[in-house]
Amino acid sequence: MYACVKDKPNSVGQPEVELSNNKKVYIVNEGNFMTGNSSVSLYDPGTGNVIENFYNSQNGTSLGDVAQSMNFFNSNYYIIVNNSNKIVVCDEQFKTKTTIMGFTSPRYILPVSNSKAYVSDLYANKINIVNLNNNTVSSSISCQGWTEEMVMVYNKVFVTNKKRDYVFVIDALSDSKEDSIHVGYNSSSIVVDKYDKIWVMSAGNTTTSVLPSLKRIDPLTKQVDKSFSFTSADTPGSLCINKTKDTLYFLNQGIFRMDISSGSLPLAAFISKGSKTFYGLGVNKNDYTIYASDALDYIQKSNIYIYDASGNQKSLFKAGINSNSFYFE
Amino acid sequence: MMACQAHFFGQDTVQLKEVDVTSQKTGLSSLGKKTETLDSATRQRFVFNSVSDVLSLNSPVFIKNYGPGSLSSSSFRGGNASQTGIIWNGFNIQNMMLGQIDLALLPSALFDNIRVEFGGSSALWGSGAVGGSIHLDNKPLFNRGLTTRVNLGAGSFGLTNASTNIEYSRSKFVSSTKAYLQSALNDFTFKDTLDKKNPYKRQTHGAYTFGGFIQEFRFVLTPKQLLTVNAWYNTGNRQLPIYNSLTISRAEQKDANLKTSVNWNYLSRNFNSTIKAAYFDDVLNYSDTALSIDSRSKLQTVIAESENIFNWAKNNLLNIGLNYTSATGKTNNYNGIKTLTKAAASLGNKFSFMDQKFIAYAAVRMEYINSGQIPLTGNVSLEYKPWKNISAKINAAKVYRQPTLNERYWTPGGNPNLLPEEGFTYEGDLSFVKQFGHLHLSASGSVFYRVIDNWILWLPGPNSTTPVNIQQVWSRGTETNTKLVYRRNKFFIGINVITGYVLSTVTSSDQENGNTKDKQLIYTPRYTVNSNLSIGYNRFSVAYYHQYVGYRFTSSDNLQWLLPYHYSSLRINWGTNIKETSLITFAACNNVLNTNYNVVAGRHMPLINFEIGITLSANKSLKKVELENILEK
Repeated sequence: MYACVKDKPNSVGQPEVELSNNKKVYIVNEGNFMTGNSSVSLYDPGTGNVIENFYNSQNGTSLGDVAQSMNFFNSNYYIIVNNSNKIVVCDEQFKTKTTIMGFTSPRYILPVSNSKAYVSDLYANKINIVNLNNNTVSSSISCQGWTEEMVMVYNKVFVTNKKRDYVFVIDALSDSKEDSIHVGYNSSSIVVDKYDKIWVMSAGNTTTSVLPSLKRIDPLTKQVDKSFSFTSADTPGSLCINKTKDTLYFLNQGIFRMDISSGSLPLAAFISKGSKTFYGLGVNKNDYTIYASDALDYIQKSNIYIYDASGNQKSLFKAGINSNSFYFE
Repeated sequence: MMACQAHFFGQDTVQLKEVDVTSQKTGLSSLGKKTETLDSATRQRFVFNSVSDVLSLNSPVFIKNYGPGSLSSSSFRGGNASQTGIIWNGFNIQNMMLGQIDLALLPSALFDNIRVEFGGSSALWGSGAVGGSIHLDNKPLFNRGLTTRVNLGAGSFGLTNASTNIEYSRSKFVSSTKAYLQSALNDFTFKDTLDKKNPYKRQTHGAYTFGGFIQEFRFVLTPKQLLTVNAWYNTGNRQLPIYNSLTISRAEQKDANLKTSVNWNYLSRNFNSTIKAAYFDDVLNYSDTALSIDSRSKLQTVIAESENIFNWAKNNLLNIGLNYTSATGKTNNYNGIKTLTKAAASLGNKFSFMDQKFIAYAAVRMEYINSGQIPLTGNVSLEYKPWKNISAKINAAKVYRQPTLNERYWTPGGNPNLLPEEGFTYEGDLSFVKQFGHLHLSASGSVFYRVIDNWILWLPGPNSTTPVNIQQVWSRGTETNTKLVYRRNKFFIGINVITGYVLSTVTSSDQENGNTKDKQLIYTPRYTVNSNLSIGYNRFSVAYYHQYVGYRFTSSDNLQWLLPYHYSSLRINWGTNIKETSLITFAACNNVLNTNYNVVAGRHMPLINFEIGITLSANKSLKKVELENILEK
C-alpha cells in the first residue's frame, strides 16, 4: 500500500507505424489552455495506425497553444493555433512553410478565392482577410461578436456567431458585410447540403432562456426557410454533414442523425452516449464513417470512436489531449 | 494546546488575559492530529513573504504556484485546494464561490500565528477540511504596553515591501493594527526551453500591487468576559501574464476582500462560551481590455456561531457548537443571485484517562443545507503519551466538501445536482523529542490513508464544461519531520528535514474507456523534501533552504509531466539594538542554483533573485525593551 513508487515515470515513445495509401484523417487536439501542448494526430483508416504528435514529429517543434481547427487548400495545410494567435502553414508532408501572424484569437479559416481567405476570431470583432500569396493579414471586415465556422455559397460567406443572434453574410468579392440572418443566439456550426441550402446550429442561452435551434437558410433569399427548436434540456452542437450531403449529424449528449428532408428533429440518439461525453464530431467525406471524440476529463488523451453508417462502433483509438475536430483528406 | 486548556479550567479566570481564546475549537480539532506551528525565527526570515511562500519551504504541503504574485493554492496529502480548510481566528474562510483562497494574497506578516493541521476535520470545521487546514490567527496579548514594528524591504524585479504593526496593550484593552503594501514589476527573465535561438525572455504584464490591514480590538468586559472586534481588508491588483510571449496581454485581476468579525467569550472554571458573528465581502473582477472581457463577481458571507465547552465531569470536556452560514454569490454567469445557506450542529467530548496519558476525543456534526444533502460527519481521535519524550496520535474522520456556488450555478455548465465529495480519512503520527546536553532532537513520522468518493471533475462537452461526480480517489503516504539543534552559549547550528511521500490515485472512474485508473492525480508530487541548515552566533544567523519537488503529472493518464526541480534560498538575519529600538537587517538570495523550473506547466518562474530588508521594533512602558530573539528558539 505504501510501497515506494519510482519518482521518474516511464517514457513511452512513438512506435514505428506503417501507413497505407488510404486517405488519412487528421485529428486536431487543442491541448490545455496556456500549456502549449496542442497537437495533430494522424490516423490511417487503412491500417488503423495512429501517429501521435504528427506535427512535432515532422517539424521537431511543438505546434503552440490550443490548436482549434485545420483546413487544406492550395496544396497547403492551415492549422489555426488559437491561443498562439497564429496560423501555421504546412506543405503536403506537413512541414512548416510559414506562419501567418496578426490575429487576436483566430478560430477557423475559409478560402474564398485562390489568393484570399477569411479567418474568424473569438475576440477581434472582425473577420481577418489573409492574402494567400504572401501569407499576411491584408485587411479585415468588421464583424462584432465571437465569429466561428463559415461556409461560402454563390460567393457569399455565411459566418456563425456565438455572441450574437445572427449569421452574418459577407460578399466575398467586395469583402463587405451585406446582410444578417436571424438564427438565434450562439451559433457555431454550419454546413451546406446537396441543394446548397445552409444549415446552422445555435446553442441558445441558458441564462436568458433562449432555446437551442437548428435553422435552414436559403442562400438566395437569405431567409430562414426551415426552423427546428430544441428543449431547454438539449445541448446540441458540432453540426456535420455526410458525403452525399443529404444527412445531418450533430452532438446532443449522444450522436444524432437527421435526414435533410425530415420534418422534425430526431427524438432518439442515433448513437447513445453511454458513459461518454462527446466533445467533437466529424463525418468522413470519403466514406460514411462517423468520428467522435471523447475528451474525457480534458487532461488526458482523448478517445476517438469510429462508427459505421449504421452506427456500429468500428474502432477506438487514442489521440492527443482535447481532440476537437477532424480533417478528412 | 493542552497547556492552553489547562489555563481555561485549572486556574483562576484572571489568566484569560494571557490565553489564546481566539477559538476554543482549535484546541479540540488538533487532538489526535499532527500540527506544525511556524516558529518565530522562521516567521522573521519570511516576514516579507506570503503565507504561500513560507508554507512552501517549511511544510510538507505542496503549494501550486502559478508564478510570483500569481494564484497560489495548497495541496494537503494528495488533496486539492478545495479540500483544504482555511481557518482565520476560528472562522472557515474558504470562498464558497470558488472553493479556494489565493494564498499569494495573504502576507505572512498579517498573522500572529500560522499553524498547519494535517488530516480531516470536517466535524469541527465543516466543508473542505479534508486533507488538512491552515490556521491563521491574530491574538494580541494584554499588558504589553506600546509595541511598534516596521518592516521595509526591496528585491529584484521592482519588488518593494512595507508592513507595520502597532499594538497598544493595557490590562483590559488591546488595539492591534497591522498594515502592508507590496508591489513588484515582476518583469523577471526566464528561460524558454522551446525557443532554442532566443531562450532568455522577459516576462511582460506581470506587475502587481497588494495592500491591506487588520485591525483588532480586545476588551476585558469583566474578569470572565472578553470582547474581540476584528476587521481585515486586503486588495490585490494584478496584471496577468500570458503564456505566449508574442502577444501582449491586457488581462488584469482585481481582488478586494473584507472580513469582519465580533467575538464574545465567557470563561469560567467549568464553562466556556463563545458567541461570534462574521461578515465577509469578497470581490473578484477579471478584465481584459484587448478581448472586451469584464467579468465581475461578488460573494457575501454571513456566519453566526456559538461554541460551548463544559467541564462536566473530571477529565471530561463536552463541546457543543452551532453554526449558521449563508453565502450569496453575484456574477453575470449565474442565472440570478444564488445563495447557499447551511445550519450545522456539532457535538463532541474529550476524555482523558490514565493520569492524562491518554486523551480521547469524539465528535459528530449534523448539517443542513438549502441545496442538497450533506453527509453526517464525525471523527474519533486518540493521543497517547506514555513517556515525556514520546507521543502517539491517531485520528479517523468522515470528511466532505460541498460543491461550490460556481460548480452548481455557473452558466453554462453548472450542475445543481452535484453531490458532496465525501469519504473517510485515517492518520497516525508518532513523535519523539529529547534534549541531549546541548543537542535538541525532535523527530516525527506520520502515515495517512484517505478514500474520497464523488470526486468532482469538470468534463468538456461541445458547448460547455460541466462538473460531475465522477471518480473515487485513494490518497496515502507518509511524512517525516526531523530537527536537530545544537546550542551552546550564543552559538547554534540546526538542521531540519521535512519529507513527504504522497500517492494519490484514482481507484475508479465512471468515464468510459478512460485511462486514469491507478494513475496519480495531476500536480501531486509523489516526493517532496524541504530541508534547511541554519547557523547563528548571538543575533546573527544564516539559513540555507533547499527544496526538492519530484515529478508532477500534468495529464491524468500520467503521460505528460513536469520535471523535478531543486529550489534553494539563502536567508541572512542580523539583529542589533539602537538605543531602545531593535533593528534586524535581512538579506536573501532566492533560487541560488539558478534553476529553470516550472511549478505549473507553461508558467515561468524567476531565475536567481535577491531581497533585502530591515525590521525596526520598539516597545515602551514595560521596563526594558524585550528584543525578539531572531535565533532558533
